[in-house]
Amino acid sequence: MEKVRLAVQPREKTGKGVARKLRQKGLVPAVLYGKGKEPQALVVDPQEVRNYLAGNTIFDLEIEGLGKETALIKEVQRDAISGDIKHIDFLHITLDEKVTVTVPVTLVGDAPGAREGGVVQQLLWELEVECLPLEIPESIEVDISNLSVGESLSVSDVKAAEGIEILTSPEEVIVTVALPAATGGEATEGEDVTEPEVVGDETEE
Amino acid sequence: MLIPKRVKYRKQQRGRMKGKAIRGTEITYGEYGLQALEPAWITNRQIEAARVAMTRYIRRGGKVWIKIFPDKPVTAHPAETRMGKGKGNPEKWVAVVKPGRIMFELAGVSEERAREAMRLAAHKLPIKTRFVKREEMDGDSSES
Repeated sequence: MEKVRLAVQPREKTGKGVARKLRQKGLVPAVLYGKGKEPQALVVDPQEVRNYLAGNTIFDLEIEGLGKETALIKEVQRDAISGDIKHIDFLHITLDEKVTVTVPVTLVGDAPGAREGGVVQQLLWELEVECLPLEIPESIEVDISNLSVGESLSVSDVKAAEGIEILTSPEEVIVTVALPAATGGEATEGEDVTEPEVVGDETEE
Repeated sequence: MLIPKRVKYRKQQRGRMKGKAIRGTEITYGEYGLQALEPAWITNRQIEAARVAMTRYIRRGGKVWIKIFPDKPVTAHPAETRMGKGKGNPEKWVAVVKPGRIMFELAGVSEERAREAMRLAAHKLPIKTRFVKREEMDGDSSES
């Protein structure tokens, strides 16, 4: 997992007014917190972090006047329409202590079931894993080259590398090759019913 | 057509559609999504028409998720009736959709087919929409 140096400024004032003013200037409010640490409000330049938001990048935060901290991104809040970053949560970590993170699942190989007319359906897109920060995988590969129609792979079928513990429930299904459902392209005529039942309506009785 | 099984009250007040969607703004099940860019009441007929348009195009293969549910009754007075005499009878069911909401999701088809299916579905809806992909939402590149 790559490590990225990021210069950030501490932020003294908090609240929505301050946050809005920062966003108007093209900056993003952020916060750093973690075990045994007092939360520290920060200001981040979104251009510097935008390429590292998708994975579990480890940041060496250089906080002006407060020294260095190691952190992971815990949460990114975005505008629902424009996708602009509105706020970032950094989680303080130490490199010798295990962390719990989500890692994307990637499917590799061609399922023979797909050639037989089945549809590959990925039901789980991320797995929760626990490992040391420097051992966080970029993605967990799931080989589907033996999947026929009607078969599926669950979390218990995934073999994680040494030192990585998968926390997601082993029964959860990651991918399945299902037979395509009946067309379903017909309008559900006749079902155009009426009214729902009214709970506790005594007049009906 | 989608309709609640049971409700607590037959009629509701209209409410307002201020702001953007807070929940349901991310793709959760599929690979592709259709995102609302305007606020609107989407009726169960419109949802059904969009679903049929999509599933007819992708035929066998692929899976569609409908991520909005019409749980709000809308009342109306019958035609050629004088106003007044109380609130009208429930006429239709709508889903309140705010900008940013992912209304439909799709998986198991190529991007090209997904785009076309979503385009056909969007024509059945009364609002501007946008085709979105899962990886674009996770990363920083948003579609314009």
